[in-house]
Amino acid sequence: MKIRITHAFVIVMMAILIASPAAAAFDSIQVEPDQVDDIGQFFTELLDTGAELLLTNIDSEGAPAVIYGQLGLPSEDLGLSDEMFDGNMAFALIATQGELLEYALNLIGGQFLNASSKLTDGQITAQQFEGGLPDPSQILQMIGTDFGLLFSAYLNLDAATANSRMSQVLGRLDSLFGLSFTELFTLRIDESIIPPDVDVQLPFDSLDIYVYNIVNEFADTLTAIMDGLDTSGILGSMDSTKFTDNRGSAAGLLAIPDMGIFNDLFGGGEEEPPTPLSDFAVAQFPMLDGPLAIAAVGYIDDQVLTIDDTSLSLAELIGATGSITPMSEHSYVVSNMPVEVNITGYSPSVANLSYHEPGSSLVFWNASGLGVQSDYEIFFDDHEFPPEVSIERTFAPGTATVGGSIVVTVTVTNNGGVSITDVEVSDVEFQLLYSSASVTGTTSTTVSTLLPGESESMQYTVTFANEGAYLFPGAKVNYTYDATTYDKDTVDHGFTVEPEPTAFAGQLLSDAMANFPEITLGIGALFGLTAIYSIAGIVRGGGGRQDTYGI
Amino acid sequence: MMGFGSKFFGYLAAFGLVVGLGWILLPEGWNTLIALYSPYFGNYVRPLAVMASLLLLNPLTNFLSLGIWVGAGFIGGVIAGTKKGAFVVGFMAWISCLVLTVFSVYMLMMGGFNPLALPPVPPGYSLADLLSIPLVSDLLSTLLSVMGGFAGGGGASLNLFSIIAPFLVFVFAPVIAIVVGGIIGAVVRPKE
Repeated sequence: MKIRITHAFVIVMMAILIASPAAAAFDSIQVEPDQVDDIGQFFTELLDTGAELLLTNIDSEGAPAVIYGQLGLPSEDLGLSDEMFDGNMAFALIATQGELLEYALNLIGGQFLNASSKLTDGQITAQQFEGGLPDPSQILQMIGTDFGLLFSAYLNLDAATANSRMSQVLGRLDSLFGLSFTELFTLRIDESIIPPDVDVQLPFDSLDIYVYNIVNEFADTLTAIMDGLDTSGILGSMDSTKFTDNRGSAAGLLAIPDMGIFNDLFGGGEEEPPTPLSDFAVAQFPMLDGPLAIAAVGYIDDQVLTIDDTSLSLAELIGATGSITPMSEHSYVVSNMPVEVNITGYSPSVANLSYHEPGSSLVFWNASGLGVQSDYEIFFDDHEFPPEVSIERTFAPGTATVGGSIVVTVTVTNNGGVSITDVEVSDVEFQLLYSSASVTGTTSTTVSTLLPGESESMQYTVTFANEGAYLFPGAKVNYTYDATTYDKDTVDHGFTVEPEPTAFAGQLLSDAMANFPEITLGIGALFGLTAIYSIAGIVRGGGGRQDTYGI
Repeated sequence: MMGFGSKFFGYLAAFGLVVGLGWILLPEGWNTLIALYSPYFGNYVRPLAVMASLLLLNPLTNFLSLGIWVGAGFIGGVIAGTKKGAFVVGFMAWISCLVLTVFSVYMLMMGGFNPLALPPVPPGYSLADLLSIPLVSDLLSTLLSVMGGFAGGGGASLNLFSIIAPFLVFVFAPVIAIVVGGIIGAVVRPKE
C-alpha cells in the first residue's frame, strides 16, 4: 500500500509512543553514537520540559480528525511517588467511544500490516485468521469500540501487598476523578506456575497484573486523563466536550511511576550492544528514574468544511474560545489538508516558526516559539469542499422484544446551495450479518439529482426472531458533485432486542415436542398425574391436621 | 396449613426459584455474552448461560449463585417438610437444571453453534466484559492452581484426580448447596 500523508497521524503518534522509552538514550549509546546522541538529547529534553503535539486532519469531504498528545511528567495530583505506587511498573487508562480507533486502524490498514481480510459472513473465527494476521478492523470488531479499561502491574511484591496497593490506587483515582472500577481480571505470575521440567527462568520474582473495567461514562475517563496531565499548554485551552460529543473519540494515558523499575526487570541491558531500536530502548531504561506519562486524546467528526468555506480554524476544532497558550518548550501544531486543496495562506505565518511548502498539504507551527495565539488558521479558495450532505438513520420503535419488528428509515438531505447527482443510498450490510432477522422493504435506492434542500428517504422493516444486541453497520450514500464522487455514512448503530420469558417457554415446549415427542409427552404426563395426586392428597389431608398428606 | 408438606410443590418452588433467580440475577458478563451470541445462535444461549452460571459454581467466590441454590433449597425444604423430602426436592431440582442444560446445548448444536465464532460487537458492548464472568476468572485461577501443583508437588505426584478435583467441586457444589439448604428448611419448618 502506498503510504499517504494521512498516515502521518498514526505514524507520528506511534513514533512518540515507541520512542519515548529512549528518552534517556544520550549517555549510554553504543551504536551509531552521532545519530543516537541527537535523539537521546532531544528526548531527554522532551522529558525534562514536557512536549505536546496537536494534529489535525481534514479529509476530502471536509470531515475532521483531531489528536492531541502529550509526553512528559504527569500531574502531581496523581502522587506517583507515594508508597502505593512502589513496585508499580505502569498503569494505563484507555477509553473509547465510536469509531476513532477504527479510523486510526484503517489509516494503517490491513494491507499496511500485510494482513488479509477474510471476513465473509460477519463472524470471525480462528480459522479465518489462518495464514495471516487478522485485519485490524477484525480485531476491533472483536473487542468492540466502546470500552474503558485500567491496566496495572506490580513487580516483585508479595500478593497481599500488591493487592493492597492496587486497592489504594483505585481509591486515589476514585477520590481524584470519581472513577469507579469493576474487576475484570487479575493474574499473578511467579515461579510456582512454571512446571519444574520446563526450563524457563522468569526475569522477575513475581508479577501481579490487574485489569479493571471503568464503570464511568467515556466523558469521565476523558476528563480524568486530561486532568492527569500538564494543563499549562494547549491542553488548558481545549474544551473537553469537543472530544466527547462527536462520532468517535478515544483517550489513553500510560503512566510509569518509576522508570528505574525496568532496571529490576531487564537487568540493565548492559551486557550486549543493542542494535534494533526496541533493544536499544530497553537498554536505556536503567538510565531513567522518576515518573513518566504519555497521553493522547482524539476525535473524528462529520463534515465541518463545506462549499462556501474559505478557512479552517483549529481553535474551533479544539473548542478554544479564548487565547491558546502553548507549553513554554516543545509545543507543536500540525495540520493536514486534502492534497487537492490549494492552500492560499495560513496564520500565524512567521519565518522559522511556521512552515508550509507550496503545493504540499501540511502546515507546521512551532507553537512554543510563536507564544500565545488566538487561533491557528489555514486559508483556501471556496468550492474546495463539497456541499453539505447529511445522512441519518432512525429506528422506530426504539425497543423490541423477540418476535417484534422495527422500521428503519434512512434519509439523505442536500443541505447545500447546489445540486448533487447520482445519489446512491445503501444500507444492506445488516442483512448480510444476521440471517436470523428478516428484512423487508427498500435497503438501497438511487436518485439522479438531489436539489438544494431536498431529501430522499427509504424504509425497511426488520423482524427479530432472536434476542440480543444487533449491529447495524453505517448506512452509506455516494453522490457526485463537480465531477467528483463523494461518500458518507452514518455511525454504526446498536439495537438491543429484549428477551420474552413467556414466549421462550412456549418455544421451549414446542421445540421439545418437535425433537423429542415421546419423552416430552411422558414427562408431561408424569407431571400432570403427580400434580393431580399431590393436590388430591393435600385436599384430603385438610390443612392443619397432623397426618397431612405429603408425597 | 401447619402440617402441609409436598415434595412435588417443593420441587416446583425450588426449580422455579433457581431458574427464575438465575435468569434475573445473571452477572453482567453473561448478559454481554448472551447479547452478542443470541442473534447468531438463537434464544437457547440465555438458558445455557443461566445454567452454566448456576451449575459450575465456585462456592468460595461466587456467593450470589451459592445463595440462589441455598435459598431455593431452603424454600423447597420448607414446603417438603422432611429431611428426606428435602433431599429429593434438591436433587430433582438439580437434575432438572442438568436436563435443561443438555437440551439447550442440543438445540444450539442443531442450530449450527460454533463456539469459535465471534460476531461483530455493537456499539456499547465489549468482549472485555466477558472477563467479568465469575466462571471465567474461577477457571483461570483454578488452571493456575493446577499448574502450581505441578511445580509444588512435582510431576511424579500429579495424577488425574488432582487435576479434575477443582472442577468436581464446581460441578457438585450446587447440588450440595441446594440439599443442605433444603434440609435446613425442613428442620426449620418440619411437617408435623
